[in-house]
Amino acid sequence: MTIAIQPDRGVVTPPVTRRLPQRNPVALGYEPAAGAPMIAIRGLTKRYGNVAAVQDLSFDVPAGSVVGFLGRNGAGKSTTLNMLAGLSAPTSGTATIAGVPYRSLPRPMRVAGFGLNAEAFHPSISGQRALRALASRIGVGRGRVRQVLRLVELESAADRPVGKYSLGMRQRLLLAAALLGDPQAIVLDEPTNGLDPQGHRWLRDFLRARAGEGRAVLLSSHVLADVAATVDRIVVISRGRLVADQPISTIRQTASVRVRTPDAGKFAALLSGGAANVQRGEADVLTVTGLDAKPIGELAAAHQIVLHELTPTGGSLQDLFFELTESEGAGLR
Amino acid sequence: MTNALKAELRSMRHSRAVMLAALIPAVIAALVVLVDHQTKLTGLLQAETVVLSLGMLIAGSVAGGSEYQHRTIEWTLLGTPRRGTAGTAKLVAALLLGAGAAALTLAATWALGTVVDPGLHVDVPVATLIAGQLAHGALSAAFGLACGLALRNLPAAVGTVLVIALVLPIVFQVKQSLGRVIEFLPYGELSAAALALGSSPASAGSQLPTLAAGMVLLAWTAIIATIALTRLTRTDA
Repeated sequence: MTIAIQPDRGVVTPPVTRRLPQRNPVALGYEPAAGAPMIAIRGLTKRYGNVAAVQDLSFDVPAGSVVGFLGRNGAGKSTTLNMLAGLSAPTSGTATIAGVPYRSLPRPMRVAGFGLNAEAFHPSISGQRALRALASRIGVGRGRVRQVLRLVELESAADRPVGKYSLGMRQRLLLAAALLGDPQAIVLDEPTNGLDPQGHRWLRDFLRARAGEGRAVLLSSHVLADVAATVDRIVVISRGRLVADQPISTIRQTASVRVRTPDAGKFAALLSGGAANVQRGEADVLTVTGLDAKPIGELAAAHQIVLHELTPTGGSLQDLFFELTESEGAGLR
Repeated sequence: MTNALKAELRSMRHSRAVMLAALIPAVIAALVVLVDHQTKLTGLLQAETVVLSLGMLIAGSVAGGSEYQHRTIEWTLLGTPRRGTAGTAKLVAALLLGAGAAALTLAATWALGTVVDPGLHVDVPVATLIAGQLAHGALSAAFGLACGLALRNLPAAVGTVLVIALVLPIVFQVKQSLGRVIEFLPYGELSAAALALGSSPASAGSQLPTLAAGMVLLAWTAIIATIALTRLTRTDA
């Protein structure tokens, strides 16, 4: 995997493209192009008068992967997702799903499921009825409605009006609606808003499982810990422009551990004998890359070296995110 | 298109506001029959026509405007991304809703009127009366829905249809110098009533024949529907 830093596009690495899993073309109404990225954004631009909300944005979401779509409030994430969903028209560029704009897909919700707005349900209608109306629109049966309600663990509240749902429950309903057509691509905008800690973990596992089935998942979120634990790749935008598109593993590789020990010289020699790269700063401080804190601590214990500090630093998604978007000003939730 | 139409009808059926606005005309028409003793069916239907116009305009505008109020338009367009199809399905569903409500209201008025006065005289051809009533209800609901889709704002849509149905006719009646212009307004006791009753209501002094009155209402509905569909297809959701 090569990583290129382009002045105008930030950190960009090519995505891994997997072959789309086999699905009945009759059910989809079209035949997916083998080897094509499930979601492809190419030179996407959206202008409102003189204001460019999204500028020349390009990235892919391959089948079988989870891509985190990050950016501060107003960076252009929702505008991008709306264009992908065909809810707003791009000024220029294309946003396609399996090689086709969403609006041109014969049975769109069977190809791509969007969870964009947890408030987009009539408050006086029950969750089940809202899903049934959507199911009849896309031509799926009531059995599938019950199935997705069970999948998102919302069966017990299915007959309650959506207006009486908590935000977390509405998020689950939104996910159920997105999954109604059993789509190959899942696009979610801030799906963890309002979820409790168990809900966060459940969603992480759920999305990883969907990617494991060969589906493409595009996840926009402000909760960087969730993103870091879920995604294979991150796409970061700032002021509508792409500033990073790279595998999450490359961020983990840049992690370092700060070690403070009175035996800095001896310990540096021990560490350098292995896979670690050691830099010596202050007299008793080492900055170690290539090894996690745990093996460093174990190595110190094995050689009876006293440690005064063992702190993982840098290399986090949060650090990268702030570094890439710091020029955008304050306002991160 | 079939799935989109089914979904629209299901959404309307599940909306309490839409169903109330669609059913209230039948209830009010029945109450009017009990207190207003008329010997002719068209006499009974004059009040029913006004209530049906208002009910269908409000039902349609609520169905169209609430899509944007509650942002359910996003699901509509995700499920039916071809916007022409989505908009047409909505208009057809409104036409069916309006025709159904008109049939119910006419049946309630006629049946109860016959019970109250077994000698009730049907003073226009039955086929013309039924066709006019159904067309009036259908076009009124579609007119309201188109207003809701065009304005994308529920209170504004309901306010607009009320102004068109109630305020404009009064303004034009007061302004006598405008002469026959008033006959070409969609509502009031004019085109809609002439269409619904199968004859021009004597109280309004309209000279338009039934078919011409129907064409006036159809033309107004087509204009508003074209604006609504253009906005739906050419602008962001």
